[in-house]
Amino acid sequence: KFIIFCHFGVYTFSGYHPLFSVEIMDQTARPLQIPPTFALYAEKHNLFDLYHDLISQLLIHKPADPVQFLIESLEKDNARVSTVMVLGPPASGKHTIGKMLAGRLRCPHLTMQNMIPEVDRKLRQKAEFYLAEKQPIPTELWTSIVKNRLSIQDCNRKGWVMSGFPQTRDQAVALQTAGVIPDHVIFLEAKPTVLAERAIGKRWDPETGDIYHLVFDQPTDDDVLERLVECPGNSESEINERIREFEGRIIELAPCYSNVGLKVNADQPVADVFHHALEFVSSPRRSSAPRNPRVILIGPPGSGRDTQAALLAAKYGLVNLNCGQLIKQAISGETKAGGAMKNYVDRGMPVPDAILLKLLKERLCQLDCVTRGWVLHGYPRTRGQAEQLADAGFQPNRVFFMELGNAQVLERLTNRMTDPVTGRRYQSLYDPPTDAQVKERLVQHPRDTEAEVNRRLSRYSTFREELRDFYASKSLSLDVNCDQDVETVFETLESHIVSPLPKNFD
Amino acid sequence: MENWPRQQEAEMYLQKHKIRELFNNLSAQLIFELPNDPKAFMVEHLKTLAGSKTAPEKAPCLFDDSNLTAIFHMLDAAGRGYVTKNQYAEAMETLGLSHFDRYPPGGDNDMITLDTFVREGRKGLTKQSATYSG
Repeated sequence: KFIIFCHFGVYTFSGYHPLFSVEIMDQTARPLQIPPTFALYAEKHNLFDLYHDLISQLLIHKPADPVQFLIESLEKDNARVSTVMVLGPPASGKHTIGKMLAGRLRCPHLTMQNMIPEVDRKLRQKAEFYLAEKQPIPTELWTSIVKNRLSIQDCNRKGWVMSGFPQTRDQAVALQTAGVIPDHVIFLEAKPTVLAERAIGKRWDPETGDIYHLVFDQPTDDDVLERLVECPGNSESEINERIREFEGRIIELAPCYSNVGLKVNADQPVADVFHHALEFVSSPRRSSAPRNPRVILIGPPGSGRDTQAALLAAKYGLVNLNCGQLIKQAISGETKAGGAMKNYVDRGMPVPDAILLKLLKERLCQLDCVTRGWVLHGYPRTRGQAEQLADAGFQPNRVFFMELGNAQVLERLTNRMTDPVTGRRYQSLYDPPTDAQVKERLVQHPRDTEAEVNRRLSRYSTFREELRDFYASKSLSLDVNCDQDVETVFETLESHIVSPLPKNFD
Repeated sequence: MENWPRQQEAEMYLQKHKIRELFNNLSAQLIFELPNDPKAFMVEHLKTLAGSKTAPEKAPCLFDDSNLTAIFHMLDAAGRGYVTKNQYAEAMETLGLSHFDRYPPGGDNDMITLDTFVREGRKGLTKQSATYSG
């Protein structure tokens, strides 16, 4: 697949035109600031996926008139079109499942057998020639047949479910090159003994094309039962041979669809297999849109916010925004805003919301935050601050409430010590110093005394509920149990960032 | 990175039909308008573009002559009636134009008039927007 980079000429919009900002003449280097509106808009409308699909189609089909082609593609309402492949060894039930899925998705079910009669005469005759000679149909011809079949209206508008094809890697690659790419591929699996058992009892209704089994899946209608015939190629030796062949081919074939594939255990009742398949097919296609996580970590002191934020920033390239640090940087940078903040900090008072918001806005609009995403912690602390942040256009897409009981907070923080010589931090309980000399000179940060910690805790709990309500109302809040080790907490955070938000949330 | 033949074909197609420029212009419009139905908006834009095949100056463009005039007047704050060659070049580049005449009449003595400014700007913008016509 070809990934195209669209460079938006965003720097031309440093102001709202026609009020074209005098930035043109401003030679001083100010950090580029980009309002978050477009990023949110693009996310909301899935613009990346839209562009990706349009450009992929352009490159696959290379129409002589791209503008007209784009107009047609956009006007087609193919939002709900599903393209599915069901692959598996003989007797795994791929055609049964394929047919059921097609029925549910209301789109055509395609198999190697039923495609041939439906295509153009010339292709059909060529294919029939090979079949008559009992020769395998060459890949090129198959590709033409599939493309031809897919161009018929019903597939175009409703999508398709294809079972039992492609069978070889060659065929898969040829399909992909021709632009036939499924959104979901189901790989049915079962042990050879199970498959053999099924194959031997497999029967076929020549009238409807339905497949039944003498033991596991009998037809309810006696008339149907009467006309069932054996399926060729299903004797014990034949079936084992075919399974072996399949196993050889699937090893090369499966990687072609690894990013859209799901293995499903075929050794279950049909209804269960179908249920899994349907669930998978109903889930949205994995998007390659650049992940732009905008994460807020809210939690009591000692819950591990700093640690986790640093880990997230390191692994995903996010900008680590520690509110406290931002304030300190502003103060030491001796900016006007920093001076204002210093007054409050020196007197031990919290910096007013308006000043904080301005500080954050400036930082969040900068290019690195906009393109890489961010993880913010230490802000917001109150509902008012959360609302202001939202009103300013900065919507997080994940808000984690790092849960940790008061007792554990106290335990973690009051036992924190630092070695003033090396600067290394220790924890009397989990990570004590081994050297007696070091142990003697350890000092505790004044913030970590029991009294201080309790004060910080009560400040946190005052506002915790209202913050949770605010973010819960936007279906954004996620609780994380922090009374675990660092790696476990990190994995939990990660899994919630990487996968889409649960849909039926509250 | 190896130059696979398919990749080269794709690159050639993109360049021949100016697909990148087309999407850039489309995106610029989207960013500016933020329409509720982006797909419908894109269709409109593309149809206007298609219609401009024979009349390149009708291609959809974010800036019109009044914008060019406004920019000129902002640069010429003193109202002398001219801008310098550097100002002119900066303005063109800020509009996103890469192809424009760097030596327009009046450029040598830094006396580029409003007319020249608007005319060159319009030429550059048309060229950039009418990706359709080769």
